[in-house]
Amino acid sequence: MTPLARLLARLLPAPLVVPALALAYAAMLASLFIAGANEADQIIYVDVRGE
Amino acid sequence: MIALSTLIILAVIAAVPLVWFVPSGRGIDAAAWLGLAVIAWISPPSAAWMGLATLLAPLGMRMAERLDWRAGFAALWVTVLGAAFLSAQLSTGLIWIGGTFFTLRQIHVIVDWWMGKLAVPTLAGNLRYQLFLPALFVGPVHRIQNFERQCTRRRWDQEQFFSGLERVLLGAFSAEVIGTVLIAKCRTGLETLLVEANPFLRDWALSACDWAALFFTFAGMTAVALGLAAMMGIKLEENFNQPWRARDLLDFWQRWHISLTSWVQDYVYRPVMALSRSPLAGLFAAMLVIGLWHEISFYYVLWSLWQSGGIVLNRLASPLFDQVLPASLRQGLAPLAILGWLSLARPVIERLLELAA
Repeated sequence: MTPLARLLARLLPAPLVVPALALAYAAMLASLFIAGANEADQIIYVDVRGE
Repeated sequence: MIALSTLIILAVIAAVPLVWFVPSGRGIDAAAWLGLAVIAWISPPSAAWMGLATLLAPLGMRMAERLDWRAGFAALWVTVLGAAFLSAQLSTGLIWIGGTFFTLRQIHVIVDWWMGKLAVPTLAGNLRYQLFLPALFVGPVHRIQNFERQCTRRRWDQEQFFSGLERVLLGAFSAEVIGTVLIAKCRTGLETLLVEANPFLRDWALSACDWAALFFTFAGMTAVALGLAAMMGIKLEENFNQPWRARDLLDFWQRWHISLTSWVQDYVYRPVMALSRSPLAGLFAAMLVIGLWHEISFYYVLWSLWQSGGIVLNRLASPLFDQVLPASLRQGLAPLAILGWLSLARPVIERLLELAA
């Protein structure tokens, strides 16, 4: 079991764990694709300097 | 055009199956070579420097042992690394990789060897440690002893693999969605809201917002690196330990970017403290190294003074707060006071620099 699955198993009844987990993954993936359209600024902790 | 960060993440993801399908337990070595190839693609001078430094260091250590010249070689190598770090930080118009995390890892190996805590690493061992793809671009500054132990014990573990995959997803969500998009939108809203406010207070509030964004972005990217390493069967050192629960500034720095803080504690704070017998000198030297490691500029020299001063003030004022405030209130106010101090640095230092200009 992954940490998120363990957390959901503690909070939800057993039949809801897998759908909730799938929903959480799908929501995160979808928002990542939407957010990915924005170009992130260079942050100081990424060890790539210059242009 | 594909962003550089996306390209790097894709290359690290490609290394995961490579690690498991290359036979004879050479998967991590293969990932290191892939790492070098990726760097060569992005920046050939960086690849030449990192490849050369990784191969030359064990050879030099071996020769220095034969000639009984350990201290001399260690000093020479640290000077070379320092010069390369400076050129990486100060070069413009050229993509430089390896100016920061790579330098810290190299210094860790050479100093531990000089102090007799580490035998000369093999060429393959040093290569897989120094160029371990998931930790190459955002850290953590992991230690070779733990890494070699992990490589030896590495075996397929389905739970570890899928937990790593989940951590990659959560980390990417934290960095891209929360740190980059949501907090940026909050920042824009805050900027509009405070347009009429006192400029100093506005800059302070925006600086606090930037600290929150930095946490979600950096901790998220570290989670991606740690998750990908876990998918390769390697458990790297954690870099964050709930910094919002810190009790004071010193506690905060022990919870934020832990691998850098512990590096600085081992290789700067303790030696300076041993030489000077002054914890204050050790603290300032450690903060100065952290500051200049971020960026070589006068801003970061002042930033180091600010952070060291904060820790000293915190220590001096603690007994007073202990007497005046109840424990629960102190605990509740501590994170706000810490964020307040950290974010106050930028507006204060920028104004000091404006005055000096």
